[in-house]
Amino acid sequence: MRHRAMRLRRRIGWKHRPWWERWPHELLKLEHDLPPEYHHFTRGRIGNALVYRGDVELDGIGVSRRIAIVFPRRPSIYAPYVMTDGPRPRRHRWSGFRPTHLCLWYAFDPKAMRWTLDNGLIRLIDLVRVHLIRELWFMSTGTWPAPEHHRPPNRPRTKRKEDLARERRPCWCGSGRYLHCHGSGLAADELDTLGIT
Amino acid sequence: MTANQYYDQLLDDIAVPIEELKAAQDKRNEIGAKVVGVVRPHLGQGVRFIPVGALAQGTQIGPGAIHDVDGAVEVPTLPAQWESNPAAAMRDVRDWLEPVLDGQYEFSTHAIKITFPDEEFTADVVVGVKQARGIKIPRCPKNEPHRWIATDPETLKKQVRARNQQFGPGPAIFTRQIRILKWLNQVMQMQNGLDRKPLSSFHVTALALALLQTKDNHANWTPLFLERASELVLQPLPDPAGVGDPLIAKNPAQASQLLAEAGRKTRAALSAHDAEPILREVFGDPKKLEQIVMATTVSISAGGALAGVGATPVRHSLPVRHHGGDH
Repeated sequence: MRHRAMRLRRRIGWKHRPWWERWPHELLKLEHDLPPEYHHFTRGRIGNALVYRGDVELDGIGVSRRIAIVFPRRPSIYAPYVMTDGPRPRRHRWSGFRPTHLCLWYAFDPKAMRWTLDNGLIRLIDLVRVHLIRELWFMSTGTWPAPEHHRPPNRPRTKRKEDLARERRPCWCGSGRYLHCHGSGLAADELDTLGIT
Repeated sequence: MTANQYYDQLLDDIAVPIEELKAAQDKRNEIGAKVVGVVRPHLGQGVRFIPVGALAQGTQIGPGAIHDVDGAVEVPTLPAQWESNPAAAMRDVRDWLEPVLDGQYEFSTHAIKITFPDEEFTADVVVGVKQARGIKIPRCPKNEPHRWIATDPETLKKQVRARNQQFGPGPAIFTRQIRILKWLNQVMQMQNGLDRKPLSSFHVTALALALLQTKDNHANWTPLFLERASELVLQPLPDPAGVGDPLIAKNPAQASQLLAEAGRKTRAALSAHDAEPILREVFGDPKKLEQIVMATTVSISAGGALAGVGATPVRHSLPVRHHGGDH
């Protein structure tokens, strides 16, 4: 009886560990072969998420932007959230959180046309840089030049369903619901936590 | 590289390919013929189509394909149903045009914007009522009262062309200078993450007409323009055609500051041994930008540079596509 209780306690404890402790090989895969230009990225923990923060150069325009890449769950299955400082255009940005996160790929495309863990953090950061440049291009010309998949518009939901969806949305840090977590405080504090003010 | 050499290279980098220009002009003329064809039965034989905007003036910029073509359909008289309801003018012309010209129709503040299924550029068609000087066009912003405003895009086009001719035969130096300034206007928006450009293209052209009255080269003209324009934008600028409202920047203080800073750097480039690094900081790199923005995958060279010209790529970005629209 005592041994069963001990085993149960260990199993419960295991489930509450962050994903990079439960699957350390995924963390290794993520950071594998990071080139020198991205070595300055810092890694930290916010809630249950692993967050990488750093500055990226937007070639051709001559500016740099601060980005935060948030992995709330194991990256082999769940896509990261990528948030940045600077302007927040409405095109290809998800607005579930106050620091809108980037819509980088179409989730239902084949693996070769999406980021996966096998590509590593290096290809993700490259993708973010290209995306940010295209955003600025879109803001100045009104056209998004890269390939897009135009989905039909979502079926309109009732106000009650919209409210329920907003209330139940999980926080980007993986520690509960957004409205009770980082979405409950000031927007400036949330940006400060992410390091993208 | 001297400053003049840099500006010549910049002009090549932001030039629209000849075949794209020709295609845009042909499409614009086709639109004009169709617009006139559908409006004349309703408003009389005095209806005509006037090519206006950057393509008509010769001040269009890339890089890559042209973004839009502009035209004004001038009607001889103002119908009664349009007088108190300027938006009705755009709606009626849209309703007449839609069956004969395939595309997606939207309304902007002044124009009917048409997106074509088979072209990369859009068309802006403005409905104008003929006046003694110029035309009156609808001004229909969201959440503001609609009204008619006076303007004269045809005279502006003629003034730009006349200034070219004033500077003698050879390359159209005045329109080339406007292209440089319009590109800088776009770069300033991108570099500062602004929702809109510091100045409208019309404002840039009007400032150029006001400030660049004696012939010079691009290396001297650019800092001269930027320094003087940084002061002029703080006040309303009269319409060069003398018809419309004075031109005011949305944020004059910000525009003035950005122009002044660009003026300082372009002035410093005149005396620098190698002007390229200084000017590239101001104008960006349009060729590289075109490669990054237009390509499905972008090459990355050692050191992390995107689309490095001449450098061997060590990897490529992922060929993603975004699922379209606003989220």
